[in-house]
Amino acid sequence: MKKLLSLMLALSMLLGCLSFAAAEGNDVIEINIYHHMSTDTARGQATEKLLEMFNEAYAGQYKAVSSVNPDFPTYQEKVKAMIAANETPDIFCYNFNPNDLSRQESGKLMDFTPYMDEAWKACFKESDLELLTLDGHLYSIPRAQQSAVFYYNTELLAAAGYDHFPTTWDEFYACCEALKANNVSAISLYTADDAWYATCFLTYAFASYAGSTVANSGVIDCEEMVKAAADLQKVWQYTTNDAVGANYSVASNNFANGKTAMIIDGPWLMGSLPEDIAGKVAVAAAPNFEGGAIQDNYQVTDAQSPWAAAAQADPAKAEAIVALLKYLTSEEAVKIYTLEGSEYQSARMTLTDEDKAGMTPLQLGYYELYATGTENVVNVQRNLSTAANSALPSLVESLVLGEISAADFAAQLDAENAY
Amino acid sequence: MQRVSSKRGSSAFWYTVPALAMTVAFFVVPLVYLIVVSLYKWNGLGAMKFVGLGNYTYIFNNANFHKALRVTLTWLASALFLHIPLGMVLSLMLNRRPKGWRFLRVMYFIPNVISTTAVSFMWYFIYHSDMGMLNGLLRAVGLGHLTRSWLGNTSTALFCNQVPFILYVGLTTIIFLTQLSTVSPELYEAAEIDGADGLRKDLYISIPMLKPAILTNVMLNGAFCLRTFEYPFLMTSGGPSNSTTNLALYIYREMMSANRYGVSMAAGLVTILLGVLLMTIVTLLQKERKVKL
Amino acid sequence: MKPKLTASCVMMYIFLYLMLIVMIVPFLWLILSSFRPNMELFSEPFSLPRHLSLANYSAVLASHPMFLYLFNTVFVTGVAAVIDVTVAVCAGYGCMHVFKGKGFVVFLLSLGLFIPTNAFLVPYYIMVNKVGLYDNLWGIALTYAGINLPITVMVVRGYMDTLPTELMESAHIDGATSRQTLIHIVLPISVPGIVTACVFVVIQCWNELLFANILNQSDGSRTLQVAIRSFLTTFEANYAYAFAAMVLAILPTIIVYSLLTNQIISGMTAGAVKG
Repeated sequence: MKKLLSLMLALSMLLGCLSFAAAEGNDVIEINIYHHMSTDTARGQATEKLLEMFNEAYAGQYKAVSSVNPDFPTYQEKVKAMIAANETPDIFCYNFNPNDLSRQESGKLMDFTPYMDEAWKACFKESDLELLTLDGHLYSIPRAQQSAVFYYNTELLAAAGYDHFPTTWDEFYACCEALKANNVSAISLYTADDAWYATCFLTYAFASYAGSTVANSGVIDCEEMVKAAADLQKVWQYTTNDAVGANYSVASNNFANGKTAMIIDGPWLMGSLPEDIAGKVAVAAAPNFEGGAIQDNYQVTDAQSPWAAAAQADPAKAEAIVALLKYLTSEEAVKIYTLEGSEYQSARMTLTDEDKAGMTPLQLGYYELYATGTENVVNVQRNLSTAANSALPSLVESLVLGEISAADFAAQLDAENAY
Repeated sequence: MQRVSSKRGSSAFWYTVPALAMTVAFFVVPLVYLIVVSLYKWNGLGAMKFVGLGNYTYIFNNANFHKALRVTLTWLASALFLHIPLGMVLSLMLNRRPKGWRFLRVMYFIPNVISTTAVSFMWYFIYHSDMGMLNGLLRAVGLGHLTRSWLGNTSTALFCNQVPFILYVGLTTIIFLTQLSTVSPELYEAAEIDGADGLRKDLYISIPMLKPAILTNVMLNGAFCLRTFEYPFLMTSGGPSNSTTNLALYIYREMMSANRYGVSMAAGLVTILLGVLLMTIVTLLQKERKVKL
Repeated sequence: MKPKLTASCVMMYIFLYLMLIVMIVPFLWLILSSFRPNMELFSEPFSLPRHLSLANYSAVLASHPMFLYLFNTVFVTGVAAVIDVTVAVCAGYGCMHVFKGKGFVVFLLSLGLFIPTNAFLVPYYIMVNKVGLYDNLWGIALTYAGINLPITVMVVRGYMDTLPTELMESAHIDGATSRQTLIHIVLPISVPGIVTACVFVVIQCWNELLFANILNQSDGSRTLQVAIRSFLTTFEANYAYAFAAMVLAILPTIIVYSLLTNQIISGMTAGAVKG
């Protein structure tokens, strides 16, 4: 007993010493930035580069250190867990969801209102700031709200007899059929984790039936959603065998390996495509109905995914965080993110002709599509409650496996959303 | 034992104190916490709201919870009717001391020291529809029409989840073998004189002697089935359409993805009640055995 | 009792070795695949490998601190096993005696056996947070010690209960204190039971994913299991790397197992049934 107790005591003392040793050191303020952009991807490399530049500019004063969880759905769960554990990362990002304000309401996030001077304010669109303001407090800084567009493998489409991307839904399904005849899976989809590709497709179909006003209203149980769900069922016959149960990496790898001809994703996809395939890939506006409810070149976007920070007792630390966020939202940084990281930021920037000359055809294609977008619809899952989001993958699976009808899908998703 | 002095006895109690303290910290306190907080609606971050038995009425009316309960019971059934019988058969065979039985015993145990995480991923690839070993094998032997997306199919996914558990019987086999080693050789010799062959010896001597080992195995494997998380989490993420989500994964999802901590804990309490039920049955059967002996 | 080569005997051999193949071959395929490039895995998963290289391993080791993860796993496993065995030996020794309220003590100690601890996901998570050990190796190690205590106590106590009490009594008559009796008399002859318990605890802790996953955030407290999980998630679905990482994660257990096969098997044999 005694021995055990003394052992425990010794261990705890050792532990104490270690933590003291860690706490000591110099006066450089360390800022821990927790994000999902691993250095395996272009946006991760861009982030690292920016942090290095920041650390150089503020050498001896501030030091930004990143820790990364590349699995975005898990990353989001972790952030919440850390806020609950009172271990809120100094800086992190998350998907803004009007139906889930738990982070902002936790009282553990930093309020940026006092730091939002005119110069910084001018970097952002008024609407973005408004979206993130809650009861007069600004708990987040706009980071990115990116369009998920149709990418296609020009070689595979050409082999199926298409020299352009289908512009109408009828042509789209005919193209899928032609690809199938060539033994090519038309489109990458998946159902695990957040079923992102599947919900992007669902939202495109939904938007083209319902128009942007209805599609952005948060209404789930409606006729247009039922039609969209039926389309998701229909397109499933053209995806890969492993789509049910696959996750993001499996599905995007299928496109990167030339196993599928199309994929719907954000600009970050460009940053993780191998070079040999990137040369064959182009982007295009989504198919539409002729004279449909929404204008051509409408786009489904991800949620606004802003920066947020932990509330700080120490004003010096708060200053450090603000300095870093100002740095990351400066035009210079935003350009690096866009040009090198394929990550489009919310803060304003103007690309010069010289900048454009340095872009690959694919990057330029995305940029031009993005810049000429007409109407935006936020992916439906981004406005669902956490409970409905958690139920979404299994509902999509039930739908595409034919276990529930399109009408059941809409009704059950709506019911989960209401809890 | 009775003669040990009472002074000794009081100090003997102190030896059990660390274990008691840990039991209180890791079982009694969490149990009380679980019961109390399962009466609240809570997202883990904000304020808690008392809802009485609301979380319980929610799960008992929730189709996904029913599914999870069914899946967990299926796991228990796979232990009782497939895993444990397989282990028993192998142990009876090894008990006949065939050539290389020591080697086999050692090899059968290897999967038990390998992490379930690695095993789950490995089987994920075995089942993979394009590059998986299973479909490859079927094609190679001309059964190409049987190939399918094993984990993407509600009718096959659950059983495919359980296959590695059912197959990896090393520990179960060793527990049976140990019990068999306590059977005195005279019993077998006597039976041989009576003209019993191997099968009869197994049926009339070995299997009846295995009862205690069966109970130990039911306890260990039952507990495993109630808590198994890696197989459904890593192989199928509980899908397709929740057909492989068991209680362990349901609890995890409700907490981590849906942020309904109260619902998660209500489901936790149901799992605990299942565990108590299972263990009580095993303990009663053990007691019965002791009385009979 | 050498079996004769009858038809049923042949069937038995076929069955035994078929089981061996089914159990072991996938692992061999995994190991082989870990030496192949990713693209080759995709295009021809079964053909005999054309290129074997250590490239996957060097890439995995270069981009991920696998040795740190290995250390973390060893640490949490070791701490949990030492705590559990120490506490269980004390408890088992105490229970060899008669004392007031022993029935209740035994009941309380076996309480944990009835509880599937994954039900305590939220409570453990909150507790670990409250004592400030979130994202800390000690948080994971202590949780493991708590979770595995009941089975350790069961195995160790079960074994100790079968020991002859005369030994203790004669030691007592010789004037040994209870601590001396424990250390010099009871402990040495309890080794088989302790080995069994250790094998149980070490296997459990080494392979645990659920709690390691929710209690961890940074590299400093990440265990091997959590790490290999991340190899197959978003942005990193390089199967060849994942295979190499898996092999690295399971290699230590296989090495230890093959070195200690006899001790482990005989320890299990001696201690397992007593429980």
